[in-house]
Amino acid sequence: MMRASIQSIEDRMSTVTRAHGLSASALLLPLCLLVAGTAHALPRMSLTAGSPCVTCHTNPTGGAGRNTLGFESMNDVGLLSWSDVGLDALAAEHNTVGERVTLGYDFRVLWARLGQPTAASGGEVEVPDYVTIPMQLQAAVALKMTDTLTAYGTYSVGSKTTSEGELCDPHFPGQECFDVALQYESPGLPMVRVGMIQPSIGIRPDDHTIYIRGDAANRSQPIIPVNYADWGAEAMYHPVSWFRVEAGVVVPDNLDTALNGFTETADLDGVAYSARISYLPQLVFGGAPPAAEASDDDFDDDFDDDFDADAPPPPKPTVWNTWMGASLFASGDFALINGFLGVGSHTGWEVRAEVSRSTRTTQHETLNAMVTASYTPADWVSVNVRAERARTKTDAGERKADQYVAGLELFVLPGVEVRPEYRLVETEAYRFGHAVIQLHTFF
Amino acid sequence: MSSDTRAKNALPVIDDRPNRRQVIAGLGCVVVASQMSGCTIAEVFGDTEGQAVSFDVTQAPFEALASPGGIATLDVGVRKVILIRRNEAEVIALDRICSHAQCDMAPPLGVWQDDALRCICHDTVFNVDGTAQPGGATGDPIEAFAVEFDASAGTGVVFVGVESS
Repeated sequence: MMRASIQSIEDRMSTVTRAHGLSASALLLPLCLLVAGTAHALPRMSLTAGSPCVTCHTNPTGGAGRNTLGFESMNDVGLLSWSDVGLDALAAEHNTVGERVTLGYDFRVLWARLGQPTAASGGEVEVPDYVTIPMQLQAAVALKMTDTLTAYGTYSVGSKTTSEGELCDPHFPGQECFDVALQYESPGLPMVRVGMIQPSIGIRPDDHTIYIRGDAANRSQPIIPVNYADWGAEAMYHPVSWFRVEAGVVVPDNLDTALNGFTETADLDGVAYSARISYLPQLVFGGAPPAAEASDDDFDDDFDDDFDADAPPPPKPTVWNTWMGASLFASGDFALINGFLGVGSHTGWEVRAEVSRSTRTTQHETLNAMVTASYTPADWVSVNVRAERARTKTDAGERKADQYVAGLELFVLPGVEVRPEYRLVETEAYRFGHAVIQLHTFF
Repeated sequence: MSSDTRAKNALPVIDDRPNRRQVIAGLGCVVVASQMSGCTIAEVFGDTEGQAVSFDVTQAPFEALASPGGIATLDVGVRKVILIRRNEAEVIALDRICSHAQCDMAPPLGVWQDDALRCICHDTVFNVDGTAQPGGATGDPIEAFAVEFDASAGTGVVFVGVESS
């Protein structure tokens, strides 16, 4: 029954699309430009636009490298334009070098109180001072070798790269300084990428402080750190709009560091397996009944008149993009299972939930959950709230951490975002709430 | 149907240029955000009172302090303390929570080497007086607690959050 209704919706959307004489790609382009509007791989973007990350990013899991469409999208969004502030020289016209090379970067700096409140002598509570935290400086390059083959990579500069001459300076155990892949993509066939890659695990977050990949017992050692990657391969098959599946294998060297860098907690095999399955039905409510097999020619008549010119436009259907699915990432005694559900609309709202559970060789079980919602009233501003819960059971007992976040994403200029947030964290040891501001520039 | 009408039906039309209301709203958001910075909530759960705690290196959980380089941990209310047998004559006590990202420096995250405590979370090294060595993830110190230690008897007292006698 469900299958039939989904097919009906798809047929209807297909008919509507044909009636407007637009190809799928032509529909996607303005959707990305006008509706998604933002410039990096935010999951909300995928849900509001109803398109996967790979629509605008070279890497199918998102990241700094954008294709031409992704660049055009980001370059079109901003409260002000570079011209408005008299800095036309900083306005980028394209992100390409020649016809085959695209470039990108992503820079983030955060002002926050790093740490937690502590008890001082005399019963006083001390809070850490605000500090400037360089989060990321990442460069990206992609080379379109042929129509079907693309090579891409990113490199993240660490704080010691300049101060101590180290080429690689990962912050978290298991974090990688670079990713690089050879990606094959041909219509009708699975997309395959081989290289130093991050497998498809749940919904990849844009914010590495999200608990869903973290560990309440040690928040300095997340299960899957930001920019985690290992050598391996993954195939993605997206045969129809409502179904997608990814499967891959990696050599879990960095995963081993993430899980066992400080304390041995998991016996891993020589390979780690990943699989993610996604169900993405597009739900359509109301609107005009689907047009018959119409084409542009149908609107021409013998008198060369346009009888529809004064007719009111038919009511538009309400369209909800959904994304539900699950993923498994496992090796040896380690397993991480994610389940997720999201709903969004091109009118700008989006609601998403995700749950993850992991187990290891030793008693070290995590169970994390997150619910988030956002509303994007204009392409340059988005309001979001998030509630998270992390629980970890170890031999030493259960550790817990809850986090509540409310914030804004303000795209002040094309490629310049200011992200003020208020964060409230509560553990068994303390409660700590304070405002943070992130500056994010990208290209 | 004209081509213009078809285009309007196909996609929502959004004017990308900000109008006056949007600009005001944007500035309002920035003002609200800046005001938020004054709203810091900080609360520590548990006993925050200080205490002088006696220890004996022949008794659990302090046996590791019987020889130089040995490390023991101690919780006094909400305070987490690391005790280190610095040499034959001296035991030192430091706040166990790293001042950078709050890693708990109980072993294995805390390593005693070269007469200093190293937090391996993000490679910050603390001197015996709690000051951070240059080049680490933070320059902020951790608290050092006074210790009275009788090496011949193997007993001592650590003063956590209270004045030493």
